[in-house]
Amino acid sequence: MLMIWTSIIHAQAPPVSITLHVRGARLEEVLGSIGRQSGCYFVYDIARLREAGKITLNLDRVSLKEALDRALEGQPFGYAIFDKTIVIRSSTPPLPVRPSALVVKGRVTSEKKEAVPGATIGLKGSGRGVFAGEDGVFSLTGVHPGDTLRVSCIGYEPKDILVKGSVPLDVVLHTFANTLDETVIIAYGRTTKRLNTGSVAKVTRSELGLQPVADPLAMLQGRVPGLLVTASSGVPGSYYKIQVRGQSSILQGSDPLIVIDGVPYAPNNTPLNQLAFAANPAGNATTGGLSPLALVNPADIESIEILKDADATAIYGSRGAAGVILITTRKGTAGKTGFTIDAYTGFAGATRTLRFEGTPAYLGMRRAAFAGDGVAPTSINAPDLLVWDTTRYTDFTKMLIGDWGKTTDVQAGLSAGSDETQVLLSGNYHRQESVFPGSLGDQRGGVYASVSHHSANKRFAADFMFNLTADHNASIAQDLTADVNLPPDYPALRDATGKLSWQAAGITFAINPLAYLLDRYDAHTTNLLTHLQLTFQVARGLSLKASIGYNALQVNETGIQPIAAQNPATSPTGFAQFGDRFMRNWIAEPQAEYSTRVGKGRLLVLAGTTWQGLNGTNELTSAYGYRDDALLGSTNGAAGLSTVNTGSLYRYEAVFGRLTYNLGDQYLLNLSARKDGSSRFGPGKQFASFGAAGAAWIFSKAPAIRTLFPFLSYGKLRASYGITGNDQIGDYQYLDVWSSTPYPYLGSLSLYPVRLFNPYYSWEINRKLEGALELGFAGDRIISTTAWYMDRGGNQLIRYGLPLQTGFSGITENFPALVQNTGWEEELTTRNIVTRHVQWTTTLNLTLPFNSLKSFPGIATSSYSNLVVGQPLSVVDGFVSKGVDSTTGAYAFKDVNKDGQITYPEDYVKNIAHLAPTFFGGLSTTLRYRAWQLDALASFRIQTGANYYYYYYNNGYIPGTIYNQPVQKGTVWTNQEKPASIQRYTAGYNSTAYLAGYDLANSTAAYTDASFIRLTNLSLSYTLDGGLARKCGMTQLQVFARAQNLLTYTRYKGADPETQNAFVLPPLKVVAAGLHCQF
Amino acid sequence: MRRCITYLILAALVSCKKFVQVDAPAGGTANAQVFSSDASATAAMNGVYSLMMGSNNAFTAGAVTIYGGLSADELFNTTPSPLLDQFHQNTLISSNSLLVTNCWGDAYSYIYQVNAILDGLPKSAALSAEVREQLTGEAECVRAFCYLYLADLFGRVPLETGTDYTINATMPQTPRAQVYAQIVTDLLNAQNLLTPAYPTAGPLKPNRWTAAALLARVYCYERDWADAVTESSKVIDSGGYHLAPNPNDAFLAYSPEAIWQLAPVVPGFNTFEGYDFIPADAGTAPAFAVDTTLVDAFEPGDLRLGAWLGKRTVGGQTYYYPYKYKIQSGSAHTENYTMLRLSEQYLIRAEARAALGDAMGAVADLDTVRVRAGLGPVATASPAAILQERRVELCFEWGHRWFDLTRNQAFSMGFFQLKPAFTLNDTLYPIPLSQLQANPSLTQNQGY
Repeated sequence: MLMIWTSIIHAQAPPVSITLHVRGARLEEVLGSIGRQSGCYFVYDIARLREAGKITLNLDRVSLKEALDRALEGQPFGYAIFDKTIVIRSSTPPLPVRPSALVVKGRVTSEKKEAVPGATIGLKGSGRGVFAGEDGVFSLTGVHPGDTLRVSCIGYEPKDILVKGSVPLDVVLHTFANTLDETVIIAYGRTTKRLNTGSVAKVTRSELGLQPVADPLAMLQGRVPGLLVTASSGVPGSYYKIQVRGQSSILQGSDPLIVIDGVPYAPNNTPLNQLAFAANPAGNATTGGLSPLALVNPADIESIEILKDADATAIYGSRGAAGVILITTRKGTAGKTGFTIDAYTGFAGATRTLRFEGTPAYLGMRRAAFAGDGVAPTSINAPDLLVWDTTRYTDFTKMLIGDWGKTTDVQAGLSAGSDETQVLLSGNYHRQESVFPGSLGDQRGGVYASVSHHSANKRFAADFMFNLTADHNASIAQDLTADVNLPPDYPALRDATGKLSWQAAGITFAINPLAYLLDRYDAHTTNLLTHLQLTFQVARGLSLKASIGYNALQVNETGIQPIAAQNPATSPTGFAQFGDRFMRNWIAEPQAEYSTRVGKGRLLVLAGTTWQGLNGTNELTSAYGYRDDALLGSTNGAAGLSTVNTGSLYRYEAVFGRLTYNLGDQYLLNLSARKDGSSRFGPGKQFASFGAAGAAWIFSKAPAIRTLFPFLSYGKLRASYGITGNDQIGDYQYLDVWSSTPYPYLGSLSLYPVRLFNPYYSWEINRKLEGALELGFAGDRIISTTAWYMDRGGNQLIRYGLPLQTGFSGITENFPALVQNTGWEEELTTRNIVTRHVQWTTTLNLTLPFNSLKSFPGIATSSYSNLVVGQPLSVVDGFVSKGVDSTTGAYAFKDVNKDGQITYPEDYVKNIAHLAPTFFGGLSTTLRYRAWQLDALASFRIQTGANYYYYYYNNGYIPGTIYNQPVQKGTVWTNQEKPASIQRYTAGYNSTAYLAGYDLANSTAAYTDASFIRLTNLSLSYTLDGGLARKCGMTQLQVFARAQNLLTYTRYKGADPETQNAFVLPPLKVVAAGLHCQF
Repeated sequence: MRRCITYLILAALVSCKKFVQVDAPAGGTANAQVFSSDASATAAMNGVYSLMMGSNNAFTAGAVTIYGGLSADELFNTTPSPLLDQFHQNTLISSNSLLVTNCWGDAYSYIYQVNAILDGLPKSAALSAEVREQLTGEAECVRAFCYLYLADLFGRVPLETGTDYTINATMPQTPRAQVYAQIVTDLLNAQNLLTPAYPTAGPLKPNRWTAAALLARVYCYERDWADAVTESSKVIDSGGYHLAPNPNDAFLAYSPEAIWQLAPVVPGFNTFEGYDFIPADAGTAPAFAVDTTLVDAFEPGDLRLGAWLGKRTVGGQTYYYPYKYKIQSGSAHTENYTMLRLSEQYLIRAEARAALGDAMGAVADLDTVRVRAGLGPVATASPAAILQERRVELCFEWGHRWFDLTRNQAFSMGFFQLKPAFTLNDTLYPIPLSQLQANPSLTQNQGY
């Protein structure tokens, strides 16, 4: 946002600019016109002036000096400027020179002194022109002095230059103030929003930088239409689920391809951990976990582009079906060496938690349950009533997940550069403590370096990026949120000596949550990411590029279960697990780019090939039988060991090409294609082709439209269609492989079949269609983009779930169903107030997605018979709740087959709820007043979700059992006469009520409104440019306060409506304050 | 210039197909390789045993004993747990995760591997006849063992005998009688293929008498008394087994009464039942305690009460706990997990002989078991006496008590008092909900 504002201020105070169109005019008339436009006065001898010849001039917004030069060119006059007075004097008439043709050479650069490759240098009025090379250098023949050159390039304001001689020209172009002309990174290149034929959303550094969180994915929440980012947990370093334009496959769906500076990120968005820990809901290592993107420092990111439609993604071929996320890192800038330090510190706590009953209400519930069941409580089934001290009260939410975790972030960087070489060096540190008791959390440190250079003759260029990040996640084996429903009169968890207690009066407790704090989990992660791009301009218009990237990621995990953390009743020995994962990913992409003029337009041809290899090794060692907790860090003290190691190799190659044709910045056509080969497929299935076409018409350029709709400053219609694929299926799925079991039988080799085998699966085909209308009003102060899309995935390659009677839970196969995602996306940016001291902009984004299963042959006998053709994939089935039966006192349900019993599948009703958001979006706003800046982002989702009944009752935590219950409004059934909304309490002995509790968890009552609106980000800053900053030796000093997830409004019946799962720590709300210092 | 680009594209198009052909991952063996030698085919069968013993509370590593013991009148969990309470209170919910993972899923994963072996063995020409026959017999024994427990726990179950997932995935349940017929076929064939000698030192893989012993149980459950007598007599008369004189020694590794044992595979453990049942610390209560009705069922002087039940008093409460296996954990290997043992064969034969009218023979068999327990002879081998003897001899062992109760419908008034929520529908466990959802051809058992 800051960048945009700076430019606007610049546009507010333009230098005097003169526009003049005259033919055969007298000099005095011309000077009069210049005087009126510039506010200057002329002093001259009118008699001498009339000796001057007739003048023909075409000046467009040129400077005063240029206007005078042009007006007096070839005339026997010179001039001198004294403030607002200009004196015209006669000069000795020069010898008449017959202008002869020249070769004009020069270089086009930006105001940052960076080359502007591909700039157009046109000779006005001739239709002739050339393009600047990669280094910005151009050479144009057949130019006469007095000719005007127009220099233009995407993203820059065009500039006219008067040719005076053969002196090399140094043309500096200024970047556009208009967001439409900001650079947008696309696959293997760049464009602008104005000239893009595809659907690409951009999140800039100025938006990312406002958020006090560690993971760049978290920063995308609510900012991009069509992109849904969902936190999986509030445990620091935990995973974010990302989904571009809806769920396209039956299971959880593929992640978008993540590319960092041209290098596909080795883990993509697959969790990094092998051992399950607190960030894995319910201890299941296959969901949630360590976010791989948490290893990318957001402050090193310049922009994140989200590529959505076929035009933008088809060039990624088999990997682009689920969208592409391009992360572009920062580069150094030419000019004075700058040094910056940013630091903030703050606190984080859980957003929204369940509120539980106090001890008296809880005990009342339990006593009523036993009385109603007709069973006498015993010390075994009711220690909470008979054994424990019933006057105790512990708030387990506060005790287990109620801490405020400290957060700290420090970034320091140096940017320096000359015309030829620019360097950026930075270091960073981030720490986020957890809300669990004790000093746990995630800390990350890294260094980042970027070097850009071009040779003196400007034909060679190199861009190099290096990033090394190390992270230590100190956590515990399980999420303590799962234990906040312990009975409030639970005995003291430590005895008088401070040791963990496991029993009260001889009765063992089920769990001691404090013991889980000793089950430490530690993950040490190192991520090396480096990229080199070499460019060589072979000839005018033709350049060759080699893009080489390497990414090595290492994860070392340790999980321990010490003797001290275990109930002595179960085992006296310690247990440890060690996970080692190593990923090495390399990519080489030679490319050629050729630009030329074809007809009246410009043609850009890109061709390239890709070779990529990803080598992975995983090793998981389990060590048993430690007798001494002190030895748990090493395998040496273990009585026994078992190690499983797996290796995998992924190889990928491709050839790709793209043709872009731009006719007068009005008609645009983009064709892209890719032929892919992947080792993830069996012989004969390894190669496939993908492609797309995109076209755009900037109709606001058409004179007729301009006349008809003068209020329209910008209008574009674009459409695209194409085919993309997906190979995110894991390696070797086509092989019929047996592997060694974790433990050999009798010490001999023991094998087991790894998977069901299917050698026949082949590429998935995803067809994407998009149409969009982009409009700008009031000089582009209002810009609206409305897009409609339709993605159809057939032949989807997924892991298809199977009943366990097949011996496995699923198989990789081409899924016969056709899934359609359609939707509307709207993005509306308005610059509400633009004055010198106050600037206010807002951006609204809205997404209205529709997901539908179009066809599914054999659905009735498949593993997905719960799905309904014509309904979304998120459809759920279940019982239909009818409230409390007044006779039995238990929840009643619709008895569909009227047999007097509630059974599956007879009484299950299909399509009782859809769980995916039906409407979501965000509203961000930036308000600047002098040195103050306020930024806010509110995001919302309209959705139905599983409430706490689903999570608690499905686990047997039914009111009346030995678990505390969330405070619930309503009347509990006690007798037939009194109407009730909550069923009778049962300790589990009333099988009707107990079963009804489970049935409620799978009924319409368990799926309720989970919509929410959240103040995702709030940031306030004050910038001191002058006195104080300078006193401290700084050029700028900024003080800021930032907050994430500060407020949430929802009627959700559960903990947090985003994570939903009642056993999972809700996302964190963070409040922080800090300084930005610039030297 | 354009030619240049054309060449580039062409060069890339012709790029080597070999680049994307990768070798199999390290540590993996292709299916065809598995059956290419006696050693690797044996390794495939070893893999089944390894998985059967590989994780605590797996189907064949404690699940049947614990869940069966809770469902019957043998055990109770000493700390409340919704999933275990459902077994103990006979209020099982079809979504109980222990049912689907530790019972249904485990059993079918062993069955798949055994089916893959039975599919691969005849196709390979590289195997010796002895190994092919031995492995076929072992695989059929394991398949019969798994199906017997599946059928006894769940009633009607899908009878998968091949590996084609397109057929298996939608297969409906098979009536219990047909499942039993397949078990009998497998065991008869296995008996023909297997030799009386074990392929290992000790009974760590099935031999001919393993097949016979299991078949004796199948016939007994089917009330095919004559065949039950024949099969159990084969084992008893084989001369290979005798009851350990001291009941404390009955479950040791290579115990003389063991017909089939599985060796521990997880380092640091002997049997998972020992680990699950024995409290490690003198000050803590056992996780699973023996119901007082079972403790009271032991006659005075029964050596088994002292040998097979542990006793612990914590905080004034006295608990008995299963103590047939005496090693909680530790790397010293003294116990194997006993799958089948001789005394069950005596009890099967006693029951069959009594039903056939051979009262003398029945009493003799019962007394063989009682004498080892330090008890005097019985007067008659009445059904009640046999049930009682089975209750104490086979207590908390492989769910015997639960199957004795359900197959004989032998629920006493005392049982109903102990289990107020119990109904006859609870004699079969529910088909797991997730499986009904994954395979709509399956149907739920009565009452769930």
